[in-house]
Amino acid sequence: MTVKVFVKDGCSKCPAAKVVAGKLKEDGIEVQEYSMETAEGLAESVFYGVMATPTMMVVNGEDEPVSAWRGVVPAAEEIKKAARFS
Amino acid sequence: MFGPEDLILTPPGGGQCEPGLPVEAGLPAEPDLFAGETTDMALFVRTSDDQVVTWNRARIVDALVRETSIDRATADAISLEVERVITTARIRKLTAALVRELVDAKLVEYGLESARRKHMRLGVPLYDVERLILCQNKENANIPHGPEATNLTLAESIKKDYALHEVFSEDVSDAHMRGAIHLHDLGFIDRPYCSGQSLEYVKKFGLAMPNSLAVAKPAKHAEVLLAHMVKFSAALQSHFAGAIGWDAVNLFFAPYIEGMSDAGIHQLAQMIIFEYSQQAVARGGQAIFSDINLYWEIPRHFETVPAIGPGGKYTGKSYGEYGEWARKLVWALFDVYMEGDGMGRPFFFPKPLVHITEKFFHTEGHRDFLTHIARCSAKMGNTYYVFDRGETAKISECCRLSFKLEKQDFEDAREPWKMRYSALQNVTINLPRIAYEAKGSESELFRVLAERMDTAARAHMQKRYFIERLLSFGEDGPLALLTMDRDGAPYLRMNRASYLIGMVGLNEMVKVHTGHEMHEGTPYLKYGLKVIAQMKLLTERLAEKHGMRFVLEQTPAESTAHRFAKLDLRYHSPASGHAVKGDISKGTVYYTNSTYIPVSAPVGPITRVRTEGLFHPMIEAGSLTHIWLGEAEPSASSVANFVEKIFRNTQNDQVALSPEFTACDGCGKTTRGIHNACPSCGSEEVDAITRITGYFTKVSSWNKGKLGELKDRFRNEPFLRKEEPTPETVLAGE
Ligand SMILES: [Zn+2]
Repeated sequence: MTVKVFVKDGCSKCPAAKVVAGKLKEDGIEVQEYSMETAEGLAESVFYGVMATPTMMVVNGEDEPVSAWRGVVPAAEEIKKAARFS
Repeated sequence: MFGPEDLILTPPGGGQCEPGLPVEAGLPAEPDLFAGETTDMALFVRTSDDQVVTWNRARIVDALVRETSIDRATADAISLEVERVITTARIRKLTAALVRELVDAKLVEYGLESARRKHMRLGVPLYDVERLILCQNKENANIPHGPEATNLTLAESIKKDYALHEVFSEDVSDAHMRGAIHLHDLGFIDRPYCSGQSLEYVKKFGLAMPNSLAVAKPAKHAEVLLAHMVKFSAALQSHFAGAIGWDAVNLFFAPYIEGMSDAGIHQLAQMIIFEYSQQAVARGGQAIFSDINLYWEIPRHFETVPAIGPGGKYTGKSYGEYGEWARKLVWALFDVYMEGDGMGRPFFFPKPLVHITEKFFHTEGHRDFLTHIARCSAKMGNTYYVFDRGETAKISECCRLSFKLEKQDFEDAREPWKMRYSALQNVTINLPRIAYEAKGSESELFRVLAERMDTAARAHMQKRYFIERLLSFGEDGPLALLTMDRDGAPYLRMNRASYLIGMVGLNEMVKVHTGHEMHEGTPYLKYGLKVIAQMKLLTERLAEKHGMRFVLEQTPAESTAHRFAKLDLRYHSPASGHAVKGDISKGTVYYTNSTYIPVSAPVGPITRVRTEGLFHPMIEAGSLTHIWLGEAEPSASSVANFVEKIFRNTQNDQVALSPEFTACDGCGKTTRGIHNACPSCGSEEVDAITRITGYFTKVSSWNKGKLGELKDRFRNEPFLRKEEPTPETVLAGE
């Protein structure tokens, strides 16, 4: 399980998403952060059909999305729960 | 006397188009032809008995001083030397062109390179002229071969030279010549690229073009409105290099057909399509590259807009009240498309672009209509499905060029005649070239990409400067039509113009850099996405820096994909030999268009639409996925389901299905699939017909690169075959 976090400069909820991402990292969960201002981040967001920031997405070992929160910031616990379920 | 009849050569044998040796190494020039032209021409034109009329070297001096601003003493020295050469060589047939070349050679000897550039002559070698007159032009399959087409090509070749020497800086021209980038439509350097507009302009202002002999008031009848629309399209075609698009055509016709019988509407639909498809009498025998945008629903931004009706007067109703009539017309248009032309072949133009939106699925009868246009798609291939998701609305212009409507546009929509859009130019970047140059280094790859984007931006600024110069002459200038002002703004709204940056061969770039093609695995597809993402970010940065609307476009690349592959084989062998598509031994080489996955990739239609659609949100000026059907004819209902699925589950912008046909000149029947002989009568006098890039045409007119591609196209023959067959499965005569 990996958590992908998509953020952008000047997006109001993105700092909160980064805080949650930080907590997940502290708990030993693999987190990848993508900025829409970079080619890599934009490419990744397009690949997963991410249209809104922040988006947090749990992907499985095959890189397939399991759960996603688009434009909202869930609690770290909620993400962990989703990640554990599948 | 050397008259035009001397140019008529024996037709070359064996169907080969190789002109014979020049009849005589001279041009059929009459002295009078050059009267009043530049001095040297008047002086050195040969008479019919090959005599030099008068020799006066002062003419050389005058020309040099006037054209190149070198000093008189140097000019005088050069003229003396040239005179000596001419006398010593005892040249009997002296021509203005030869004298100019001798002078230019001297300028080279003197190291006066910039003077030589200014003094140089633009023209076409005799051999080339002969080839042009005798052989088919395969640059653009939309141009038939004929005297008008030859005129067009000759004019284009001189304007192209002019553009490369005078409009663009040396580095930009060189990048084009080397095939690092491609500057499109150089032969149309004095025109913008394409134009999209609303019928409301013609309805409100009638036909009152600058320099036209007669002014027509706003149309009172539907047929007259159509005539105005077609004439205006033809006028625009002579001011733009590419496509002419019309927005919401069925809706804007609606106030003119209110109360009309079904038969009357059918006839009007027939006239609309025939008028456009038979406009091949226009520029260079080239049909107007025309798009008509169509809606089943009333687009949200037109719902409350006051409708203009007969005589250019407001009808007192809003467009929201014309749904019934707009729907009748669009239905009838597809009835006509489905019938095909007199031989049952698909109509090539105008291309019908049907917008599929959320509102479409909430409009009465949408299911029946979707099945109707899906049947046309499966049978004839005409239908283009344009997907406008969320709040976006678009006008599509060219093969896939579209303009997303912005806030200002929605305000303009209150007065739809203001909705006029243009792209000034299209510059394409050769992506595989960058990968050869980067030699596997990613940082180098992205560095060169940024450099190429910069070059493209410079090319756009140079073209803009040139067009602005032409426009500055106003209604007395060459672009008078585009400066006409009927509503407080010139017809061509330069402040709203777009500048297109396209790409060719993303798939081969990824292959050269990673060793794999994009459809061979997620990492390779993601690498392709990253390259386009970088291009998108760079366009945004360039747009901000230069205050110009740069946008990415999927280049139609009718000949560019072939040209780049050919040049890369020359400059980047052996690496390119492993990357180019097609048959190197036959010269049918090409690169995969824009951001497509290879045409030969054995993937089903849904995967293709979804995978290619991943790129579409980054390509603002519009994208398209082709589904090559080959002989297969899926059922209407399966196509309709497919279309709805695309709208709901992918990010794809636009889709078209392309069947293939064989039209027989012997018995006049059209059959499905490409055959060497007519399956009905056995005649070999057949034309294969299918889509080349964004439009239908005869395969016999295609360039070598596209022929290579056609051979490779993976036909989705098992495409949703399980569905029940429809009565349309079999074309008449099959
Ligand atoms: Zn036949």
